[in-house]
Parts: sequence; structure tokens; C-alpha cells
Amino acid sequence: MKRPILILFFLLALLGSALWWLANDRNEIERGKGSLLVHCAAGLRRPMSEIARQYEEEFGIKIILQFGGSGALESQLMVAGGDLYLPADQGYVESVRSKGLIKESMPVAQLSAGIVVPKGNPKGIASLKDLAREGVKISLGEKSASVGKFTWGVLAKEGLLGEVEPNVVVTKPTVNMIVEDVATGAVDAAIAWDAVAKNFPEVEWIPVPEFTKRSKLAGIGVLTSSKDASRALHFARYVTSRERGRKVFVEMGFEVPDVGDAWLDIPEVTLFSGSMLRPAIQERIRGFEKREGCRVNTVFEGCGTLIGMMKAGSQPAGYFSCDVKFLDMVDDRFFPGTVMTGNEIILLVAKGNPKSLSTLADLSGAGVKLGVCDEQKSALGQLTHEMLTRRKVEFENIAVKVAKGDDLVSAMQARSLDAALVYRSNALASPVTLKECEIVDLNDELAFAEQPYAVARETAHPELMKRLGESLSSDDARSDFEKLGFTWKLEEEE
Amino acid sequence: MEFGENQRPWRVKPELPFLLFLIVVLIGYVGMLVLMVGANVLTVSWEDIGNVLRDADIQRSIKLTIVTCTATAILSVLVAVPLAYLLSRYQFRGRAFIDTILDIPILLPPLIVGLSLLILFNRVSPSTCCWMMAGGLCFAACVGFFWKNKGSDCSMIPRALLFIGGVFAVGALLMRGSGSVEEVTSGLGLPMTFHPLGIVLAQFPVAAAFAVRTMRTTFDQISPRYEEVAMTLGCHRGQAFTRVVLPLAGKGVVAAGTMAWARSLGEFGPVLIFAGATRGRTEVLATSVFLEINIGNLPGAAAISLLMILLAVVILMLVRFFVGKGGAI
Amino acid sequence: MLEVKGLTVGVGEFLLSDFSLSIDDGECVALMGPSGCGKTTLMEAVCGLRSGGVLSGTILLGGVDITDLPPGARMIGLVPQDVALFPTLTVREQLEFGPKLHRWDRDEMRDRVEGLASELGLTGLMDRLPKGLSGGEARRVALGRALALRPRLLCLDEALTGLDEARHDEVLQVIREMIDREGVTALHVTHSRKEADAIADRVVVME
Repeated sequence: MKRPILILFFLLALLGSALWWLANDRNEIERGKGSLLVHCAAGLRRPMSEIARQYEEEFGIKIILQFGGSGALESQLMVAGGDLYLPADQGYVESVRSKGLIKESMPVAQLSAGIVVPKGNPKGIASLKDLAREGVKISLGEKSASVGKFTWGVLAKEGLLGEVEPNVVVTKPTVNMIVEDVATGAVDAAIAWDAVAKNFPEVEWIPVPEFTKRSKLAGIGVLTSSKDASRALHFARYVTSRERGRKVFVEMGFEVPDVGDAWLDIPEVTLFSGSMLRPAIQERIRGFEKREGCRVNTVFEGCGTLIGMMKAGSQPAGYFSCDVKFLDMVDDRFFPGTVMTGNEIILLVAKGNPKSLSTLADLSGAGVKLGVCDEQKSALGQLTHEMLTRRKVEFENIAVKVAKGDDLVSAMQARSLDAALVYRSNALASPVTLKECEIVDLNDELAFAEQPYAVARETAHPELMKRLGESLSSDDARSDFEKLGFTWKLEEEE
Repeated sequence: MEFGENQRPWRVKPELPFLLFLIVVLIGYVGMLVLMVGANVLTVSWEDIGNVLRDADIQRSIKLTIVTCTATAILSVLVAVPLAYLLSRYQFRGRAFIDTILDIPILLPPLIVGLSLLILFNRVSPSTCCWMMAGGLCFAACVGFFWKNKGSDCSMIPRALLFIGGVFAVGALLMRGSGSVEEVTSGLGLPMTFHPLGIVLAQFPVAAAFAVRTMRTTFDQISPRYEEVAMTLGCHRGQAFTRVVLPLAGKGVVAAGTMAWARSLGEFGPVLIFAGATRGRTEVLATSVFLEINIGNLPGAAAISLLMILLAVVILMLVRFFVGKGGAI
Repeated sequence: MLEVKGLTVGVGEFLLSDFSLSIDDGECVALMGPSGCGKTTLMEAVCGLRSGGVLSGTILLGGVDITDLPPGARMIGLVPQDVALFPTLTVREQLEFGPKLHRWDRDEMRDRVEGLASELGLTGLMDRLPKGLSGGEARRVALGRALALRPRLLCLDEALTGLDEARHDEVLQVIREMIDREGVTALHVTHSRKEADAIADRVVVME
């Protein structure tokens, strides 16, 4: 071995490049060059222009902002398509979503409506009733603008429409124009968003209880017509992230909702999930990763093991548990979970059921080699244990206790057991299984587990995790689950 | 043959029974190995192998396995060579103690290695780590100061230990309140837990332990005389090491590296716990087998097992070819 | 030239106590004694290889106190008992080892090495590895290696061990010639009277 130094350098170089490759191993998220078209409520012009400028600087993608009244924009986007829709009110987002035009949405900023008067309030207007006074000239938004629709609606609800309407001398299509009218002195008062009013030094804004108690949440939604959904989502995340978009909103005097994700170009989160859920959700999560442009590190294990890991210090961003009992053990770390699916415990036997096992009582028979899960390590184990205890089945026949249902399926395939108590989804996970085995239903109320999905309290990406939950509860996801033997438990929200 | 008066012919029992015994043991053990591989082969059809090789996840798993095992092997060798030399050539108090510590990764169940890493990275802060290091080093320094015996080569070492301990203590104070180790490394762009980079870290402790053992044997077998002569000719310890000992140890280094590579190929436990088995991300061949079993795909798992056996055999043959019979593996 | 005063060396269980020795400039002294009496230990201590075991005493070489100096700074050449040629280096590289380390000028080094090679009869063997050398050839290479840097003291440990009778005289002659030619002071440790008489000017016997 001549020249150890050369060899040493070669080894170091090789090591360095290997480690660098591993550290930066990102399947490059395909992002097109090009631009995004955002239909944006006029009231959010100032902050959104700034955010768009910052985004362009940081990522080189052009953001084209179309401003208008929220309602007008809705009509527009139905005709012209586009990538994102940011109305001043979530209500519009929901309406567009119900038409199937929006996929993901996130809350952006809070808007409160109030009375706008010229600085100094010369006419001494203090409440909505004052707007009905003789000689007060008012400008309001048209119904095609979010603020307009809202104002007219509230006035009607409060029964003040009849009194105030005569004083409305003009209606304008965007909120900026309404406030402009007050600023130029063309009218005495208007009803507009607080944040917009702040842009005009010539006016002041007066809160009124009828409006403040109904503050609005502006939300951004990704349109299904978008040609680059990942890029659109990326921008939406940017707009709603704490360190980027949200900061701009706060600087410009907007109220922002308490929730929000930290900004990362490619966020990375960890999801703990019961191993029996793997076949159902693995591919879906990959799809989610691609669309969101994020990384979801999934850890599939028996719930007992997962709890152990959490207690050892792991802090996953989300936990899709095998059973509610396990989520309860760590409930201080998570927001309350939503039960998504249910999984039935069945008896897996060899094809043809040679030992004629059909009920739990049969499992106490002589010479039956039974496999179960360990009650410490998994939900399946715990439920099985409880079931066998309550139904007074002999424990003697338990030949093996494993960590997960999948291991029992393997053992059954290898013909080392006569019967195994597994989830229906374990048995349906691979088509190979049913060639060798068959399922015996137990029809026992104890033979059931419910799987909740929960988001961690301490995660930096709560919105992302919420969207992951939504993706896992979509209709497509539902059919995946049901194909694998899960029961759908999530109620349809109206 | 003529015999003297008091001589008796020497009788020797025939050799054949002994030879047969040796052959039986050989056939028994080798036979078991062949049967195990054979059982694998029988479960697998060409179609299965094709499916497995075409699978993009498996392809990536192969790539990731090769990269991580190579990185681990290199890292292990870089650590094992100096460490084994130190243990082989220098006498110091507590050498036996260090020897025992170095064997810990080999003795511990693999899952514990993984769990310890998990706890270290996610529950412990760098500050605490520094305190622990400082404490240990100061303790070692004290031991060194009080027990200077005839056999020790160098009395500067306790002082050096104390100094390094002090550096760690300063580090501990500076890094107060910086969160867990994982948070710090992620912040530096080096995420570990559940991340590909963590695979190397999970494979490393055991692979390095084996590499150290191999190198220790190598260095023990090289006579110190060469270094002594080199020193009389003007070398200091380090020059004697690089110019005389290392060239001699070449084959041993390759053996150590190969040993480390082979160990990290099969190191499943720590990788699973610390780096996770995320399909397509932190999946190496060892965990691929596990994942396939998990979805009840026995033939697929067997196919991947065969792949691993093939990979190991190819690597071993390559090394043998390039280096000749180098030391025991 | 070499003055050892009251040297006490402990190696493991063995202790050499209060040993003194004096060698004049250019003199060759044979140190004799039964096996186990400490002659090799003494030689190693003089070379600087047992520095941890030296408990008391001083060693002076050419008037300079070398007791605390590292082996490489003592200007002593060593031909050990087992010859110990570096297995991966050719004969030429063995001879060049010392000069290269001390960054001799290329031409000076070449001249010195070739001069030594011809004096030792190694010219045809320059590109051989140690495993291709006979016992006698190896010993000559070791001698050349030790002398390359023109040391002040040459230490030989049982210079003829492992050689067959026929070679003895040849090698003895070469050693004696080199000592004379180089004018170096030499210390030869041996258990054979015949060796001692053949090479040394003076014989010292140890208990």
C-alpha cells in the first residue's frame, strides 16, 4: 500500500460525497417555471402585493394578482380558471368548494367591518343608527364585493336596512373605492374593512358591535383548475406561514388567526401510524407529499411500540392510532383526535378451515395453535387480550405473541399456526394471503378497534397536518380503506 | 523391520475415523447454510425477482444500501485505525476499561443501540452531552493523575484530558437552552432521526466495533520493532506510523473495511428504530425485507433476501480479487 | 565518546541497576554476558527506546546529555537482533529512509546511498524487497540503513544470530570494515566470545 496519504484523501472524498448525497437527498420536487394567477379580494391588495413581490424575489415565479370584489372574482374564475382564489370571506371559499372548484384552503387573515368616516368625524357618527340620520351620505359596497354582501346582509338582519338605505348615495364594486369616497369627501361615511381603512390616513375607522361580533376570515384556496397545483400550494403555504405572509399582514395592521404553519420551502413532518394502516394510506401519503411539495416521514409500528417511542422522546407531528385507547395515553401531546375508520378483529384460519373454528369458544379446543398480538405492544394485542379474557377463552393455546398483526399473517402463510386473531385489514393487505387462508367473522362487539387521527399540539406545521388528515379522509381514501376491510367511521360533515 | 531387544512396534490408530468426523461436521454446517439459501431460492420465481428489480422503491433501496454501507465502512475504518493503534501500542491505566466499552455495541441487542440513539438525539440536549463528556474526561484525568505507574508512556495525557474536559464544560455553558441534539443538527442542515443520514449513524456503532477488533489484531501482529528502528532513524511516532506500520497493515485495513461493510448491510435493528423504514426514503435492503413481510408478500421478501446474499457475495469476491487473501473476515 | 553513568532501567519485572560504561571515540566495544543479564535492555535504553523505564542515571554521547532525548535525535544507528528490514520497502528505499526523513539534498543522498551500497556489495540488489534477500544480504542492508545518516554511535545486537557458519566470517569482516571506514563508535552486544574478539577492540563482561 503505497502512499497512504493519497488513499486517505480518496476515502475522505468518497465519504464526503456519500454523506452529502444522503443529507441533500431530496426527490426534486418538479416545479415549473412560469407564473401563478391569483384572484384576490381588493381589500387585501396591499399585503398581497408585498407578499407576491417577496415570493417572486425568493423563488423567481411570477405572481399575477387579479384584484376585484370577492363575488365578482368568483364568477371570473369559473370562466377563466386560474390557480388561487383569495376572497375576503371564507364563505366564498366554501361556496366555490361546493361547486367542486377548490381543493385545499387555508385561513389567511381576519377582517372586521366597521364605519369609516373622515378624520375628525365631523358628523359625529358613532353607531349604525347614526347612519340613518338626515343628511348623512353613505357609500357602500356592491353585493358583488365581500364587504358589500356582508354589509347589506347584516343591515337586513339588524332591521336597519330600511332606515339606512335612503342615505346610500352610491355603491362601489370594491372596498378600496368605498373608502376612497370617504377620503375624498364625496360621502360622509362608509362601511368597510378595518385594514383597508388603515391605508387611508384621511379617514378613521369606528368599530360597531353588530359587525365586530361577526368578523370575517379571509381564506386562500387552491383551484382545481390550476395547472401546477404543487406550486400553487407552495405559494398558499407561503402566504399563510408565520414567518413570511402572515408577518406582512400583521405589519400592515391585519388581524391574523392564531393558527399557522412555520415557513419551510420543503416542510418535513413525521407521522406515527399503526402498522395495520400502512397498506391503506402509504400511497395516499406519497401523493400528498408530491402535491404539497413536502416530506412526510412515516413510522409504521404497533401502537404499543409507538407510544414507547413517544415516551422516549419522539415528537411526531401527527398520530394515526390503531385504537382510541392508545391515543388517550398520549392525549396531552395532541389536539383531540377524529375517529376516521374502524377495524374489525377476525379469526384467520387455513383455507378450508380444517379445524372447524368458528367462534371464540372453539379456540379453547385441544391442539389448537393460536397466534395473537402482544397486549403491551399493539392495540390489536390489547383488544384481543381483553376479548379473550372477557369471553373466558383459554390462554393455554396461545402459541405465540407477536408485535403486529402482519407478523401473524406471515406466520399463517408459513403454516406455523392453526389460527390467528388479526384485523380484517391485515388479512386483506395482500392478495397472497387469501390464497392460503380464509376469514372467519367473530361478530363480537369487543372485536372492534377505532382509529383516530390526531395532530400534535407542538408541531410547527399544524395546517399541513390538518390537510394531511383531510386528504386521508377524502372519498378516494375512503374507498381505499373500505377495500382493505376497514369500516368508515368519519361522519360526513354538512 | 528389525527390532531391538526392548523395542515394541508403535501402533497408530488409522486416521480415517477422525477425517470422517471432520467431514461430517463440515457437511452438517455447510449443508445447513446451503439448505437455508436453497429454501429461499425455491420460494422465489424468476417473475418475483423481475418484479422486485423493477420496483422503483427497491431500486432506490439498493442504491441507498450501497451508499450508506460504503459511508459507514469508510467512517468505521477512519475511526478504527487510529483507535486500534492506540490500544495496541500505548499502555495506559484503564486500557482494559476502554476495551470493554469498545465491545459494548457488539454485545448489546441491536434494538438497544437504536433506542439509545433515539433517546440521545431526541431527549437530550447538546448541553447535557457536553456536561457528560466533561464529567467523564475529568474523572479519567483524575484517575490518570493519581495512578502514574511505571508502564505509562506519557504523563501529559491526564493534563490533555483535563483540558479537553474543560473545553466541553465551556461548550455546555454556551449551548444552554438549545433544545435537543436533533434540533441542533437539523438546524445545521443535518437531520438525523428518521432521515437517510441517520442510517449511517445507526449502522456505525456496531460496524466500527468490528472494524476496531480487526485492526487491533492486525496491529498486534505487527512487531513494534519496525517502529523502533524507524524512530532511531529519526521518525517520531506519527511518522513511524504512516511510513512503516500503515503500509504493512494494508490488508488488515481492507479486511476491517469489508467487515464493517458486511455488518452494516445486515444491521437492521438500529436502522429501523432510529432511521425508520419509510418506503422510498430510509429504506435499505434489510428493511425492505421487513416491509415486504409486513404486507404479506413472502415471495417478494425472499427475492430481496437473495438479492442481499448476492450483493454480499459479490462484494466479498471483489475484495478478495483485488487484495488477495487478506486476514480473517 | 559514550558515557553511561549509573543507569537504572526497569522493564516489566526486570531491573538493571546502576550500570556504567565508557567507550572512547572510534572504539568498538563488545558487551558480553549470559542471556537475561540485561545487555539488550541496556542497548535499547541507550538508543532511547525504553525511555519510560529509565529510573535514574545519565547517558552522554559526545559530551551531550541524551538521557531525555527521543530516539530520533540521538544520532545512534541500530541494527537489531531480528534485522527488522521494513517489509514493504526495497533495499534502496531502506537505505534512503533516514536521509529522506531528514530531507537531505537529492544528490547528496544518492551519492551516500550508492557509496554504501557498493561498499556493502549491495549494488545488484537495490530493487529487491526484503523477502527476496538472504540472511547475510539482509544483515548488510540493515547495516547500511543504520549507517546512512553517519551516526555517532552504531549499536549492533547479536549481529550474527541466525547466520550459518560459512557466512559468519564474511559478515564479521564487512562489519569491521565498515566500522573502520566510517570511523564510527560501535557497541556490540553478543554472547559469543568469538564474535566479540573478531570485531571489538575491547570486551566488557556483564553479570
